This record gives sequence, C-alpha cells and structure tokens, in this order.
Amino acid sequence: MTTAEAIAIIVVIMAALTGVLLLLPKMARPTLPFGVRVPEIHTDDLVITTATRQYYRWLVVTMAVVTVVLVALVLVVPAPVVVSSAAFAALAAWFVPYLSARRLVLDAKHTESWFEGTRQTVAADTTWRTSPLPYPWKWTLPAILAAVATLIVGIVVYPSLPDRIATHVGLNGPDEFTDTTVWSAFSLVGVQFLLTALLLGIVWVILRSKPDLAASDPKSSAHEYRRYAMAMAKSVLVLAFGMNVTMLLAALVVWDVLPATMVWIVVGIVPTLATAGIVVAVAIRTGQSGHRLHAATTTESATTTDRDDDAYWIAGLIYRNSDDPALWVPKRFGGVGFTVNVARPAAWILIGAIVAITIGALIFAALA
Amino acid sequence: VIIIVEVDSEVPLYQQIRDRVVEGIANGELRAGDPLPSTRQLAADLSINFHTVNKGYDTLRAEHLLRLNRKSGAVVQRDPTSGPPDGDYVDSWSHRARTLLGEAIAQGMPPSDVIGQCRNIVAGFQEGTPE
Repeated sequence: MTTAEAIAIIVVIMAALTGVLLLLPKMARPTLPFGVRVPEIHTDDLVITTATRQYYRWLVVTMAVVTVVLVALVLVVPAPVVVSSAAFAALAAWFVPYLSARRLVLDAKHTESWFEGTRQTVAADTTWRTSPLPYPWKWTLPAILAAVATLIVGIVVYPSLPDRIATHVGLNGPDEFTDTTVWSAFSLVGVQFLLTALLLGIVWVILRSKPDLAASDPKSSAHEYRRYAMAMAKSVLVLAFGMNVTMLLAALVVWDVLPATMVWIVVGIVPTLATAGIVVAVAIRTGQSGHRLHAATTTESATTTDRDDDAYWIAGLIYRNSDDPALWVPKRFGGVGFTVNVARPAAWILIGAIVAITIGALIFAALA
Repeated sequence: VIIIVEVDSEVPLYQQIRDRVVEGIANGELRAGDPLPSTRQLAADLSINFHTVNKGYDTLRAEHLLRLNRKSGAVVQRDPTSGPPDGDYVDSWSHRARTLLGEAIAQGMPPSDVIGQCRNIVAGFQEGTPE
C-alpha cells in the first residue's frame, strides 16, 4: 500500500464514519436524546436542540482533527497499522461530542426536575409473544442459493485448479498465493456458510427482541415495532444475499473462472455495498424501534411518561439491570439495533466468544 | 392486550399485572383459551423481575382466571361467556365492593353518581373499550 493509497483510504473511512455518526441523533427515539430518558413534553425543549447542534459541530471538528492526525501518522508509522486503527480512533474521539451533548441534556433534566409529578410507566404487548412475527424463510433463499451455487461451482472446478491459488488480490491483480488444498480452495465457501448462519441468527434475535414501547401511545408503538422488526429482518437477509454474491464473485476470481482484473474486483464489491445501502436506507426510514414510522401526534396522556431508567444505563450505552431477564435490548443511542444486558451471564459468554474468536483469528493470521 | 404498569405506584407491580389481565378479560380483549406470555418473557418486556410476574400469574390462577402448566404456559381459563361464577365468589366480591362503594359515599359522592359511575364502567367493559 502506497502512502497516497493509505491517505485515500483513511479519508474515505473517516468521511463514511462521520456521515453515519451525524445521523445518530435523528435515529434515536425523541424521548432518548443522547441516551438520556426525557418525558415527552420536554422532547422539543431548547436545550435538546442546542445539544444536538453542538454535537454536530463538535463531531465534524473532532473527526477533522483525527483525520489530520492519522494522515500525519501515515508518514511515520507503517501505513497498514494506521489504516486498521482509523475506525477505533474515530470511535474513541466520538465520545467527546457525545458525552458533552449528553451532559447538557442531563444537567437540564436534573436541575429542572423533568420527571417530577409524572406517572412513570412501562408497557408490554402480550401478542408480541403469543402471536410472534413469523420467520421470513422465503427471504433466506437467495442467500442460501448463492452459497450453494458457490459450493457447486467449486466442486466442479476443483479438479482442474492449478497447484497454487491466489489468497489476496491487490489493485494490480493477485499478489499472494498458497498451495491448492480443499481448505484453501473452499475457504470462501466456508465463510459464506458461517456468515449466512450468523445473519440468520441475528434475524431471529430481531424477531424475538424486547420491544421498547412508548408509554404515551403503546398501541401504535407496538404496531410500529412489528413493522420495524420485519423490515430490519428482511433487509438483513437481503444483505446476506449481497455478501454471498460478493464472495461468489471473489471465489470465481480465485478459481480463475473470472479474470483477476480491476473491473471484476469493483463489480464484486457492488452487491455488498448495494445491499448494505438498503439496510441503511431501511434503518433511516424506520428509526430505532420504528419510531420514525409514527404518523399520529396525539398522545394518550400528557402526564404519562416512559420510566426514567437512566440508572440502568452506563453512559447511556451499556445496559446493566439484574432484575431484567432480557439478554438483548434495544440500543438507546447508536443508531438502529440491539445491545446486551451485561447483568446476564449469557452476555459475558457472548462477549467472551467474540473476544476469543477475534484473538484466535489474529493469532491464526500471524502464524499464516 | 397491552399491559401497562406504573413503576412508582402504591399498588405493587404484581397486583397491577393481575389487574390489567382481569380488565383485559372483562373487556373481551382476552378470551378463554388465549395464551399469555411466559413469566420470563413478560418480565423481560416490562424490564422487571420475573418473580413479580410469577406472583401476578399465581394470583390470577388462585382466582381461576388463569391456567398455568409447564407445557402450554399461561392460558386464560375463563371469560364473561364461560357461565356464572362459582360458589361463594359473589359473596366475596360484594364484600369488597361494599368497602369501595362505601368509600365514595363517605367522601360525599351522591348515591346516584356512584351508581352512574358503576353503570358507565360496566358498559365500557361490554363495549370492549379499555379503561
């Protein structure tokens, strides 16, 4: 990787991340600005507008500073190290605008006692459990078929593969090779099946997740949550298809069925980028837990608010509630999706597994 | 049915869960044979301890409104169309109603208003409108 390439990659990563992070305030529920629980009557308060504007300004400035520092580092530190740590640096720097905007809202909430005299309620829709959303099996077919197609092509071409095949394709064509074995030839197929299984599992989690219903209007909120969960489930399955098609094309290049030219490398990335774009578009349309699908503005009662559950949320990001049997809970701030209840042992098994897999992959990569 | 509980209420949470289910049966949202979520699922959806939901379900079982078993979970046992109440239910109910209606009289509500309110509430359940 040349210095110019590294700088280009860093600028693209930072621009993309800044774009996503700028969207976060719009994706969060209006009653959860910067992860602070706020009664509905205060969602339009001036302090929240001020905090949001400050977040936007500070975010752009912080990300610009991080980009400049990373670009400067490329000149002294090996470029791959800088490029691979760019995303971590950006996320660490994000805490500056996030925590300071959060502080503004928290201070106003406490000094003005926003929750005093409110009825704090929690709502659950029993039909979410007793007639749950059906798993959209039909939507899994494209992803599964793409993986199976790759496997079949692999079996057909395997006997005629050369002794050595490419393991890495750079901008100037294949640049790293290894001996042809069943393992090396079919590694992409293995990744396809693992990834498909993982995404199918994520869809299951989405469909069985804990809905956070708005206390002011639980009925329409429950309806919106159903639409949101199904839309997210289907778009994740579409993403699985896109990623499998990308890996199908990559495998065809590795197996020399397609030429390892720039054209095919670019064409290969398109399905993943396009389907990831669909996921982002659906997420922007629905908002977290489907709150952006909300049409009606009428609230059942001005004094009924969501429960002030700030005490269970560390920095508005990490959930810890030992009473709550739920493992997966909707994120408060951080776009659309879920986080775990760290008071559940299963959460630590999950985190441990992710850390173990990451370390294992790093060791494996270092040895190979 | 939507179960709404008030966290800081003087009424204990398990009692609120029991009350919401009773009202759901009264207004026809829940019918005999309808399933309810497992105690863990409902507790997770309400972010509360599952022992609390257990206690609420147990209360409903003791009142013959809910059937609990390991296999099929919690199922609504009866609704307004399941026939008259058993045994001495009416006695125990009028005992509690006496206290509640007596409260209104003691606080100075005119008897005609008390009866009017009762009529409205019962009519509300028959129309199937919650609350």
